[in-house]
Amino acid sequence: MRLVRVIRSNPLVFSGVAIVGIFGIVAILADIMMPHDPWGYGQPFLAPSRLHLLGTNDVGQDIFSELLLGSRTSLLIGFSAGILAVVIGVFIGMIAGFRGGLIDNLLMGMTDVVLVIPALPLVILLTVYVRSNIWLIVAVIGLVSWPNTARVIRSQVLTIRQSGYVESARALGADDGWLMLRHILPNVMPLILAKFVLVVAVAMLMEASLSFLGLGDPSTKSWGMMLRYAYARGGFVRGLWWWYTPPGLCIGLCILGLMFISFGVEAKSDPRLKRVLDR
Amino acid sequence: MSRLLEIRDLHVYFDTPRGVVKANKGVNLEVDEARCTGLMGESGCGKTVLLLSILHLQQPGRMVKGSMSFDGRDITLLEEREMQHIRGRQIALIPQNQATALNPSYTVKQQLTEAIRVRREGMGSPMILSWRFYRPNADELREIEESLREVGLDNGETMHRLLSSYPHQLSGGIRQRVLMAMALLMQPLLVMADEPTTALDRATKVAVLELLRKLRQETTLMVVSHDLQTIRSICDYVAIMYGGRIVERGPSGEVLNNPRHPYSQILLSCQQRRRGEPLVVPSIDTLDLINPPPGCSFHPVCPRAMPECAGFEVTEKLVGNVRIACHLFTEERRNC
Amino acid sequence: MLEVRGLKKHFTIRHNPLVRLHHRDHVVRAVDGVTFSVNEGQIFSIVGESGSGKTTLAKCILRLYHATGGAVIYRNESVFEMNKREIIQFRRKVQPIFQDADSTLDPRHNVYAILEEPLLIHRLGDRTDRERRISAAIEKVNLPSSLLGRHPCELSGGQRQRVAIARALLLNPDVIIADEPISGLDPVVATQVLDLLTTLRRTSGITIVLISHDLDTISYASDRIAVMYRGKIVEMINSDCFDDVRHPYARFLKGIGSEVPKARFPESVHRLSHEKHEGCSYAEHCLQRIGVCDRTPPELRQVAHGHHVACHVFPGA
Repeated sequence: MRLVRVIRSNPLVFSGVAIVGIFGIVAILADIMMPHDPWGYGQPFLAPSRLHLLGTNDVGQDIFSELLLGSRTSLLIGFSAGILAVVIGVFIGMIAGFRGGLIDNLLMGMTDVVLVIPALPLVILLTVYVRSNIWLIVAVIGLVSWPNTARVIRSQVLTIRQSGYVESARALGADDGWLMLRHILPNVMPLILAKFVLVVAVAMLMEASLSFLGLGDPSTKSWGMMLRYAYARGGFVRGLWWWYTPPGLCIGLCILGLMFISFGVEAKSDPRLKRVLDR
Repeated sequence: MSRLLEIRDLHVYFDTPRGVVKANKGVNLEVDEARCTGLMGESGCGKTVLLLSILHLQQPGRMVKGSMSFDGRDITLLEEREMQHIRGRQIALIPQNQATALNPSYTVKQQLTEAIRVRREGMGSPMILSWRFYRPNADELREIEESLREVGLDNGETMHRLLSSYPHQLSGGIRQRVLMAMALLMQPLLVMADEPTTALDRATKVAVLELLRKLRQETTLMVVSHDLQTIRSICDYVAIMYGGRIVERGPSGEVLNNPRHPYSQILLSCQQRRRGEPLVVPSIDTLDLINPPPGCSFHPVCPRAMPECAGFEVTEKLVGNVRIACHLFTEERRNC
Repeated sequence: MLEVRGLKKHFTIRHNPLVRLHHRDHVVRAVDGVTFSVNEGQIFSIVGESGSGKTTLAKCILRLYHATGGAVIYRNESVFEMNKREIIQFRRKVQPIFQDADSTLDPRHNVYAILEEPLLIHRLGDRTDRERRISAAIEKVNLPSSLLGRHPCELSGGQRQRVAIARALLLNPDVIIADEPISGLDPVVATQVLDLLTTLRRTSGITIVLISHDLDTISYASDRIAVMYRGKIVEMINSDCFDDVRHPYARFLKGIGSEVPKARFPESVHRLSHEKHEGCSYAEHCLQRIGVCDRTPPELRQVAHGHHVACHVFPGA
């Protein structure tokens, strides 16, 4: 298939997909793979051993199991927020670019307003009133990260709308819906994918920061929460590297993988580079 | 008449992921001083590659085989540094696309000044860092104006406006002339013009042709074009290319009025058809330059192909004053 | 069959007063009162240089632009007054072939998908029927069916233009409006494409409006030729008596005499100024201009049967 060929032809995308794919599988199969119950208490501050691969934390929970379960939360937040942001961004960008005129001005004005809303302080503010849970975080991240996507999509749609093939399809009698779905959307798809992956990365980082600041959902295990507890309960001070290093490493690795995909896909959507990559 | 440029059996290949593209395979060409040579052929026949190879600008293509000598000097294996002395100052190229050949962020005056400076001081001049680099002194300004007048941009009032214009403010014809003026400022021995008249409308084309005709009196010219009118009106010697090879070359009167190679006949008849005349065009689609057909590359579509066309490589044969690469002809007697 | 009456399309170029105080909005008269009619089965050519408004004219006829004034009549119906359903029918019967086939084919679709598109838009036929029609169309334009799986970037220029023609043919149109179908093609390929169009006219009786800047190449293929200059038709003539052209500009294009308009070059240092001309728009370049040329624009008048000229030097018969 075309997608498979693209992935295999580009080592950057391939490694990115591999990294994110492994984390994805872990997140899905976490329940089976976990050697211990990450919520169960036991002997605290154990060093890595055969029984506890990465040791235990301050209340004796198995860090390896926490890590596996945490990947689920982190990826869930990342991907949900990514989907939310991209759906909004693509919708607004396509409408604005395709319709033009007043609608374009209104939508882009709105985009500019949202663009300046800082996500982190907004979440901090909201958690004062609402009890923090992951869906709140997803909603906030999703609702503030779409403007960038919308702008990029709009500008791309503006060029595609002018292109010969859209015009000739219109002359064949195609209506707006047809043009959007059959010509414009497929041509902005690589861009959408690239932007989606970026938003996912940003969302994962933001989740980690929020959790680290103590604004995360305490009833879930996530990499950010693990870091927070490692910091708050003396993991850093005592030099228990097996406590704070793995979640940090996982976040970094996961984002690296996403970035790889994004770069590769973006290069592919650049028409000047595309010719080269298509060969 | 002395020989200015001589190309022998030139092969230029491009390595692509799909295979080796043989853009030029065995080109022989002589350019005599004060003569205007025309290269005709369709896109993909290798004519632009040939021009660029003369300047060693064919990268990423590789010169695989063959030799070139310019002004009595072998330039086949010349170092990059020495080529820089030849480019522009001895062989000037008027590039194909006038829309992009000028730097959009400098005015006409600045770009022409640059040409003068490069001619006079060479690439390594410390002047290039000076903020005065693009400011011509009075002599240079006079020379610039002179060169623009030479290409037909003479008008006391508009000259000032033209000099301070940026390329995008100019029409295609004017840009083409500015490029010519730039080439002439270098006072080269040989001027090569790549498709000087394509993408120009009729009035501009007529004027550019006029100019090229004038230029021909003063310097040696080499013109690449697929347009019959351009070639016919300025060239004394014509070479017709197909599939990386020159299939027919000779004095322009003979080649253009009485083409002998089947491809030349088709190419030329396409452009001088009368109304109601029957069609003799076989379906020529892009030639596969990676895996060209064996033997003569034209034989799969040639209306007069013979069995031996596929079997043997063609070599140039002298028939009258014309050199033809075709199995239909033999050196001694003229076939059909 | 197709009639254009006094068609006008003006573009207004607005200058942002905050950025450029001293520039006023100005109007570009891309198409300025064009009238002609095309008979069934005719090849009608419109010739003019770049910037003469040919492409704008084509897009107005197809209702891709909203014309400023005038009317286009197709089979006794006004195109500009058609409702949504009628315009879809109109677009089925009047097909465009655009300049630069390279960009009119969606790079993400293969040839089959490109050719299937018009059938899908108009919901014609089922799967097997579409397949049959596509293979028939591709045969009509002399392309091998092995090309169907390829993408446009894998085709040569001539092949792309043929795919564009095949796409236009799939809906069995009455009229094809071909905008510069051969520009950018090599002479041999261009000849093939033109031959294809003339053959189609012969075999299927399609009416063709051919738009080009290259008079020499298309004159032998067409029945009637209109020469455009700055948004106006300056001469209209049957092509079998094309050697009789009268208008100085048409004569210049035809290469009759050495009428190179000298005044052109210093003036066009900066791109065409679009101010309205008082008189004939060609007057400043015309070697035969007389006093009246600067004052009143000439009307298109009949000088012989089927021969119209807009020039004061050649008044009507």
